[in-house]
Amino acid sequence: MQYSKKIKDILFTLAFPAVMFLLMEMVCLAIKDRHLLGSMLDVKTLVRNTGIAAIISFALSFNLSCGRFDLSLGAQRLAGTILGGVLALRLGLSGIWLLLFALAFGLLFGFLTGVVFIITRVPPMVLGIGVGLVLECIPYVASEGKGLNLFGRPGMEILTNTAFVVGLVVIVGIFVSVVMNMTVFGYEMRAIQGSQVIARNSGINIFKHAVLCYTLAGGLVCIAGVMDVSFTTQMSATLGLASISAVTANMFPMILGGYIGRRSNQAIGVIVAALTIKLFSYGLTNLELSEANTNVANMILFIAVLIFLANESVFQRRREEKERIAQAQKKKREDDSAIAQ
Amino acid sequence: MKKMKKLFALGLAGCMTLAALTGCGSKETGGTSQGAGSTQAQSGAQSTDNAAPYKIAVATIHEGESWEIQKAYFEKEVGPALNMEFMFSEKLADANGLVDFMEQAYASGCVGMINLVTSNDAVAQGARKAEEWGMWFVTQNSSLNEDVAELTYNLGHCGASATGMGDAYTKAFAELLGDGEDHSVFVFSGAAVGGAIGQGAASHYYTVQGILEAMQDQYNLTYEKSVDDIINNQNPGEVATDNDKVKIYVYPGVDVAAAITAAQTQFQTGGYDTFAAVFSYSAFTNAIADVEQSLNKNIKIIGTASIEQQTATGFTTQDSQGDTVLNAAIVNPLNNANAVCAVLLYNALTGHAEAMKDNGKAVLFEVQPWVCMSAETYEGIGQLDTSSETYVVNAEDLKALCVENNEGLTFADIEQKLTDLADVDAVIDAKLK
Repeated sequence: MQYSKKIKDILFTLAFPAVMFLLMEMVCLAIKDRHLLGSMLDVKTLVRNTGIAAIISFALSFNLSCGRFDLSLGAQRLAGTILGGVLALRLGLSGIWLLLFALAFGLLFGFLTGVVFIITRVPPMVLGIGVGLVLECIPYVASEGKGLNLFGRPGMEILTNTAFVVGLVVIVGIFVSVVMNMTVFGYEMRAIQGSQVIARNSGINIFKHAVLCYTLAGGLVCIAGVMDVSFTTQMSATLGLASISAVTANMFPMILGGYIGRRSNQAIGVIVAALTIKLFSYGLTNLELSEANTNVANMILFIAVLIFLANESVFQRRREEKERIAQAQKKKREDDSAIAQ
Repeated sequence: MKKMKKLFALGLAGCMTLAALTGCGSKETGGTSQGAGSTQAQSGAQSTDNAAPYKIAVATIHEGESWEIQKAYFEKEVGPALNMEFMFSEKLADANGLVDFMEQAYASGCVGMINLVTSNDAVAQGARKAEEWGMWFVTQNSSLNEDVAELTYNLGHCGASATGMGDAYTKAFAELLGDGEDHSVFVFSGAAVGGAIGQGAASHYYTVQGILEAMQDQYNLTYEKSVDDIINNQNPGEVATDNDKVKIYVYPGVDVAAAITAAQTQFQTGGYDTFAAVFSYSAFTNAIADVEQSLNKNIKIIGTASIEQQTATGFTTQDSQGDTVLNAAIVNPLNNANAVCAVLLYNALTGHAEAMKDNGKAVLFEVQPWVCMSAETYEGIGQLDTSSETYVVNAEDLKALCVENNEGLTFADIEQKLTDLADVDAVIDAKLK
């Protein structure tokens, strides 16, 4: 019985990317007479993009699943990546060091944001705006407004190596999976997701947990930032919270991942969701749609998923409601007949 | 605890305010110019007089290395030469941002505005606001906004010559493709859609036009649609030509990440061997390098570039096929437009605004781009605009363009100066040898 359920869960999880792949493959063949993924290079790009999206989604989910939307996450990514990059370049170190420095800065900025949150208790979104604006200034000053440019820099090749990228995504996936499912932190997170008040009353230190969430999220977005900049070669030191868009663009895989992860775990769910959405995006690219139409298609799918998630239990609730009404009517009839007798 | 909370909330509000106003201090006091900030130009021996400096606001859409070089030019060369001090905006996005910044600038005593926000509505709103306040207004753009061209305080536009970009690309393409073989090109056309009618970027439009016309001339192609229709198509796709051996793919849009994926997909088919980008060419280099390795095929890259380290790196770094990463660049002189804008404002502020106009109408001053086909040429270009000795338009040139110092000077003389600066070899000879 349990074996059969596991098979069903695996099939349910794999169904999302499989169905999306088949759907987009058919559409691409029918309309453009080409395959969705034409070469190993396409697969490599897909893996990289999926990895970046999944890692940012993980970072978002640490706080968002506990009811906090950290609007400074984009600024943490920007600050950590640029500072890590500038430091590594100035010291003449390789890409691995860039990644480690960025991770360290990301953890630090995330930790500081978390500490400020638990001390001030300012609503997370408001706090995120303030902290984000401040953090964006740091890489701007550190890089003299130039941002990070890895174009032609020796020693950075490792960061674009496919095996390295895949390995990094797998390590992060395993790490998040272990943290979410096999640690006290993960247990406390599920308790807090249920009810913060009950979790606190049952002895969970929700403030310590919040700081840990912010810290881990900061580190993760910086890993994604390094993966991104190593491929596109540059990251501008933006101001005015412009950095947030790189993070909010990954709300979709996070939300879809939460749904898919119900049958496995959140880490697998997010990776599968990111892969599904990237396959969809790849398909749209192959269909040669304009930027505006691509955005419309992406948003329609996102809204459709949100509508589904908001109403997924509607039929069950209606059935239960009908049953309750039928029971009440039956009871009323019994009472009426008892009064009549 | 409650008191503590209030104190932190206040502190945080303070931080937010500071962040929004970062850079208000002058550079001399250690501040950097982000947010609305002013920088006092050092009025020393080079200052034209001892009067209070003219306060000029600069509303920018740029950030990064090349913008920092331009800011340094304003502060270190233009300021002392023309007795000006500058107040820089942070990176602005639209008309609202421009007008907000103008209000701050006007309130802090600015008498002139150099506007780099190029959308039609931004230019129109900005020029009308400036007219209302009596603030001299000049825009860096490749096309003239006719709606406000006759306003008294609008001194006109100065920017990369859109047609010059096209000509430069035509020249570069002719040289790049002139080996007698068939070449196919993927063009990242950026904001070219609508560029000829002021809705996109005019320089992008004319760049793509230059490329399409160069391909047409080189291979005697006949396009199914007009060049204008091809450029204004919002959907990416292959351009229908009558030659199966020569393919052209145009990708419009400003989403670089999506364009990289599309470019990689197209190059992976093996049908293309040349990549042209109207901006951000370097973001594509890793994706193209992957394709080169995968297909063991050389892909040439040509792009619009600035004078910065990245361009030098592109010309000197080799790809997996033993070719340079960047094969040709159309380089926009960094400070020529800045110089002209400052001179226009100075002439207006010293009572010679009419001489800067064509029968009372604002003039479009065009900066000609430079074609750079090799590392050797770029070595010379890269040394320009780095110090007072190498500024293409230095303090001496700036003063020579002021009516005050050169009686009878008109807008036509400034146009001639820009035309003279189009010959990059002559400029390098004059400044570096």
